[in-house]
Amino acid sequence: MGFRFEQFADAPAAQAAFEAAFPIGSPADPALQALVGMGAQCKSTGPGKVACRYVEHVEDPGALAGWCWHVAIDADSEKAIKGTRIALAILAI
Amino acid sequence: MSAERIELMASAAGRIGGVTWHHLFLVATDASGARAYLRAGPESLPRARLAGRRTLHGDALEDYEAPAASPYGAITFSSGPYEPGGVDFDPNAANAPVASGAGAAQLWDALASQAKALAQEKIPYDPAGRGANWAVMEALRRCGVEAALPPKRWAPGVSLGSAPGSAPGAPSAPTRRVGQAAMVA
Repeated sequence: MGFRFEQFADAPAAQAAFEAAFPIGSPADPALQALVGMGAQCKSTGPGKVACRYVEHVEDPGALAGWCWHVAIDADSEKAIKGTRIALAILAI
Repeated sequence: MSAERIELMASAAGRIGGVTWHHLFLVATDASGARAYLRAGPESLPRARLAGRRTLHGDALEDYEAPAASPYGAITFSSGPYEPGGVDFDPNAANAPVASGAGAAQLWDALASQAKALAQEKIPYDPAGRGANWAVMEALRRCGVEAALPPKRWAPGVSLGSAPGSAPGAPSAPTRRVGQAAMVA
């Protein structure tokens, strides 16, 4: 699944696209694999809960501010997606 | 919220010359375990960083208005619940204690006030100078707190002093380190 946060400029647009690609009730693993595959750092935050953080790569090595995406995936006992939340912030020094 | 603990958090954000730089923010925890963040950042990124990107309303550049203060606009503050899928949530962030117990609630309220005051000053965001890390540390300084960074974390901007004419109690000039000596200009 070719999901790329770099296509989106706000969280609602990214969330809508993410939910279309990985709808509620579908297996959570492909969503997690897509996030990890694009370079997100993911960590379990509880039973069925994973939080991921993705800092967009910038070609300019001197860039000191950029986009950071925050994703939470909640899954049920069958590892199906119960819900997702996405936030976007400018990460800066 | 009535904070019982305040921590200074450092989130890895990028690398400069092979060294990882960190984004600083504050997290308060209340008696129930609920957490809230307070963070600083620029109003926006330069126009080039929005090219080709979409919002729910279409092309992001169609809504873009260049900020007046600088390509990044002025320094802004925001706060909200610190939770998975929310702004700045980073389960791998390093933390350093700032306050706990009875003084934490008072400090959290004071930090909110100082953040508001700093935002009203419309300080141009400068990624190579007074930026988000500086602003977080400046809010702490204006509350009379000299916070230590989490160990072994590099956060550019924190060593810059307060702006001239800032609140009492804050250093009046930058401190420059020469060898092991700290010189106050």
